[in-house]
Amino acid sequence: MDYNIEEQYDKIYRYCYMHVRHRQTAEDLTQEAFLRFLENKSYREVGKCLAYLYTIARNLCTDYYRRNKEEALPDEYERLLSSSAEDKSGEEYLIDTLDLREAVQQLEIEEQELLVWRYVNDVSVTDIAKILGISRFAVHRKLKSVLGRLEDIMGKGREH
Amino acid sequence: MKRRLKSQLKSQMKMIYEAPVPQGKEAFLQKIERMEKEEWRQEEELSCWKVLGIQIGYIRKWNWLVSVLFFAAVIVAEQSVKGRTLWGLSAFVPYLALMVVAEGLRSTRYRMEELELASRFSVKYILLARLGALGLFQLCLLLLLMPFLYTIRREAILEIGIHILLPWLSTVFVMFLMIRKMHGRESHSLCVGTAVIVSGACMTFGIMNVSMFDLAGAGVWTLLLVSGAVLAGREVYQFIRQSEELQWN
Repeated sequence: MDYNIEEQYDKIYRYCYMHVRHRQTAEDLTQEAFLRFLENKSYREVGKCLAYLYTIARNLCTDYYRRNKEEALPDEYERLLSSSAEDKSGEEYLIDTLDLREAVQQLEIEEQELLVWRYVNDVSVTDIAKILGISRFAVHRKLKSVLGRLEDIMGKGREH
Repeated sequence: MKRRLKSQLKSQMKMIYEAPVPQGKEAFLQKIERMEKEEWRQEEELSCWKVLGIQIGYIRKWNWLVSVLFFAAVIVAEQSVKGRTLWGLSAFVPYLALMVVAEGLRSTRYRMEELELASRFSVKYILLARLGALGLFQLCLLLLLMPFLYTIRREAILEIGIHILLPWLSTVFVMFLMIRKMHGRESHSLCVGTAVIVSGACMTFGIMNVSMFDLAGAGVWTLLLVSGAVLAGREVYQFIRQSEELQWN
């Protein structure tokens, strides 16, 4: 078995939180994803478990979006975003992080998703390719394009 | 800029996407642990042989009865009626094969497939158990007939083997091929048709009193027998694999 539930729990939770921006909902979706994942034993045995787990979580988040399209997003996330950088030391680092945070918020949700998988949850390019159903080469290209966009947004921000 | 962005990206992204500490993690992990323990316990309780035993109970009784009656009828007929060719025996064998295939199609015929797909043991395992049990039982009976017929008839064991096994294997192969390629009631009717055609061909050769070695040499028949075994095995395997794909759909 190439996954550890305890380790993956935090990652899937963080991923769901990125989508729903609400602690309790993110936790509910994470647990639902694990229950569905553990239900299907045969799929776990064919060695695609991480991609499968993320696919379930992704679908659950999409369903949540559809159900709650009309509802306003809780402000918990915004509050957290504005406060979490204050603990970091180093003025330049703080400025960069704030720049990056603003830039990331301007990205599409699919682009943010890609960054979270690759840079926050350390999901391999191979697994991302399996989740998205595209080639590894296409994942590399997408990542490169997202990083390029981030760089552009941050560059523009600095000019202003 | 790009290099610096990449080097800082990981740590900064982790900070940006930091989520509040989950509250229910420990309780959930304990629940999962209990569930997995329970699953292991149930799996240990319900071993492969037990599943096979349960499935054997679901195979209709007349399937076993007809197979045994066929076996008994051949023994009685061979001792009382002398000098008949083996074609009569070959003509009945395709119907035994039809029984195996009909057993495999029960889920589809009674529209129970979806329910079985959702059950704990998928339709793949159920089919494997049922087809395996009935198919192997019939094959064993047919193989048991071979030495018996050899002692009575003193004909070549190869000839007896071909007369008994080739119609069974070829019928199984053609039937499963048709079931895989075609769906619905048409395939069921075609299976019956196949059994009738193979049986009819054997019967015709019997009435014409044709020796099998007049039709082809021993080498050709052996090749046909081996090919029949390989192709039938392959088709059964493909049929069961296809049922697994159905589960994914």
